[in-house]
Amino acid sequence: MRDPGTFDEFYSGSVRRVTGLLYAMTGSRAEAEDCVQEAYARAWQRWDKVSEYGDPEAWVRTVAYRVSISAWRKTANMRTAHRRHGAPEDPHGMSPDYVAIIAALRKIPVRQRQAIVLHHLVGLSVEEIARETGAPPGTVKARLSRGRQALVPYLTETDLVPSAIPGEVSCDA
Amino acid sequence: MRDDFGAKLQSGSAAFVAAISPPGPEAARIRGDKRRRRKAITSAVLALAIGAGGGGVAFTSFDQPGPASGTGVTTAPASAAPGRPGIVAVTAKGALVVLDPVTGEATKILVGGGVAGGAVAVSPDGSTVYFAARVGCRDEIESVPVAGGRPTEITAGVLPSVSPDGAKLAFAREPFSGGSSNPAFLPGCAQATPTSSDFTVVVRDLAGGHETVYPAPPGADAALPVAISRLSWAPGGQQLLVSAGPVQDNEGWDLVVMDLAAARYYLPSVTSAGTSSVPVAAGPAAARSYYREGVFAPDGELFVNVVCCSGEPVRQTSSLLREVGPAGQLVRQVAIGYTGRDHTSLDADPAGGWLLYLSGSDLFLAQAGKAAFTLTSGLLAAAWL
Repeated sequence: MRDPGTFDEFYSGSVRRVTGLLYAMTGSRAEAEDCVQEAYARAWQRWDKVSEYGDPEAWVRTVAYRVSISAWRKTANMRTAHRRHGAPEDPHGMSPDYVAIIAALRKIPVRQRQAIVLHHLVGLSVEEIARETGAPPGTVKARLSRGRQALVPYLTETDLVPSAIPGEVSCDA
Repeated sequence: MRDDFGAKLQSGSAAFVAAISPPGPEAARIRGDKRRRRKAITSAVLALAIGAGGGGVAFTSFDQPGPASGTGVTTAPASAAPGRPGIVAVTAKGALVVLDPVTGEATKILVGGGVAGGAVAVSPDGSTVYFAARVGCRDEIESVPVAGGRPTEITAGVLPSVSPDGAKLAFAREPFSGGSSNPAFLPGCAQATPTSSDFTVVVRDLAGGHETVYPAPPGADAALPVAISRLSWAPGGQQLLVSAGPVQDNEGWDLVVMDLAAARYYLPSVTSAGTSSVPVAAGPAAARSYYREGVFAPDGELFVNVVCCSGEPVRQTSSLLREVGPAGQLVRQVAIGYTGRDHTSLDADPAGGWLLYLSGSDLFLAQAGKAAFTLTSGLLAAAWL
C-alpha cells in the first residue's frame, strides 16, 4: 500500500538535493528538473517497495541519472524544450566558478562526470559510489582519476582542479 | 593546485538549489499515477488485440501482472504451429512460462515467480528447462520438467546452458546481481565489492555433479572483473561460446570461444591456449564495433548482435542481428535492431530454421531468409523448446 504522506515527506526533503546533482551532471536546468520529476514519478509508482529500501534517495538519484543518459529522451526533450522555450536558458545569477565547473563537467565522459559529482558534490566515498553505480571500486577510482585529468584543460585558468583521492589509480593504467 | 573544486561545486550547487522552485510532491504523484494507468491501458489493448486473433483471453504483454493463475491461459499444446517450435520464456514478473509460438500467449506456467532473467535453457530432448532463480541474496540454477512439476535445485549460478548431449550444464558463477534491482537497494543483500576472482565459468556433469571451473586469467585486473552475459555450446559439445560484458567505460566487450579440453580460463590469456576471441570482421565500422551477445547455431555458425560503437560516451549508431562464421565473416543479416535497446536471449532452434531474440523486452522471431517480427513483449529471457 503506497502512503502519500511518507512519499511527500521524502520528496520535500530530497528533491532539491537531487535536482542540484542532476544539474551538475546534465548542465541543463530544464533537463535536470524533468529527469528528477520522472524519477520521483517512478518512485511513487512503486513506493510500496522503494520506501522500504535503505536509501530511497540513492534509488531516485540512480533512476534520474539513467533517465538523463537516455539518448532518445535527450533528443526528444531537447526538441520539446526548443519548441516551448527556445534555446537553453542563460545561467545568470550563478557564480562564475560554478558556471565554469558545470561547463567543464559537460565536456568529460558521462561515467567520469557521474563519479566526480557523486564524490565531490554528494560526498560519497569510493565504496559508496561503487555500490550505487554497480561498478567495482577500482573502476570508480579510475573514473575519478581520468575525470580529474580530463577536467584539467578546462579548469586550470580558474585554479579549480580537484585533488586526487588517496589510493586513486593512475589514469595511464 | 588548491582543492577548491569540491567547495566551489558544493557552494555553487547550494546557491542553485536555493534558487529553484520544484513543483510540489503531488505533481510527481500525479505523473506516477498516469504512468501506472498508461501501462495498464497499453497492456489491456495489446491483450485484446492479440486475444481476438488467438482465441480466448490472452495476456501477451507481460509487463503487467497476468490474470490470476488458472485464468486467461489457454491449454493449447506447446508447439501449436507446425514447423515452428515452442518457446519457453521468463516474464517481467519473474514467471517461467511456455508460449504459443503463433499467438504469443502463455499456454502453461512452469514456475509462478522468482525466476531471474539473463538466460533460460532447454535440454536437447525438450523435456527439461533450466533457469536461474533468486533465492534470498543469491542466484541458483534450478530445473523444471516441461510437462510440469516442482523445480529442482541444482547449484549456485546463473546463465545456464545445456550441452548438446544433455549431459553437462555450463553456467556462470558470479556475485549476486539482484536481477533488475541493484543489490545495494535490496534489504539485507549488501555485499563486498566483487573482484575478478569472483567470476567463473563452470561446466558441471549433471549426473555426477563434478564441476570444472574456468576462472579469469591470472593477469586480469582484479578490480575490473569481466562479467559474463551468455554461454552457448558448440554443436559438437567441445567448445563453449562466452559473451563477455564491458570492463568499464563501455569497453572490453568480447566474444570468446573456449576449447573446453584445452582452456584453463574463460578469457584469452597469453599464458594459456584454448581460448580465442571472435573478431568483428564485417561492416564499415567493424574496428569500433563489438559483439553484445552471441550463440552457436546448429550448423556451427554464430548468431550474434553486433553493436557500434564501444567507448564513452555511450552512443549506439547501429545494432545488427547477424549470422556470422567462426572467424566473424558475415553469412547473412537477420535484422536491424533498435539502437538504444539491448538485444539478448539470442537463440537458434535445434533444427536451424528459426531464430529468436529479445529486443529490450520484445520477443522477435525470424525464419531463415525472412524478415523478423514481434511476437509478444514484456519478457526477460526466452528460448526455443
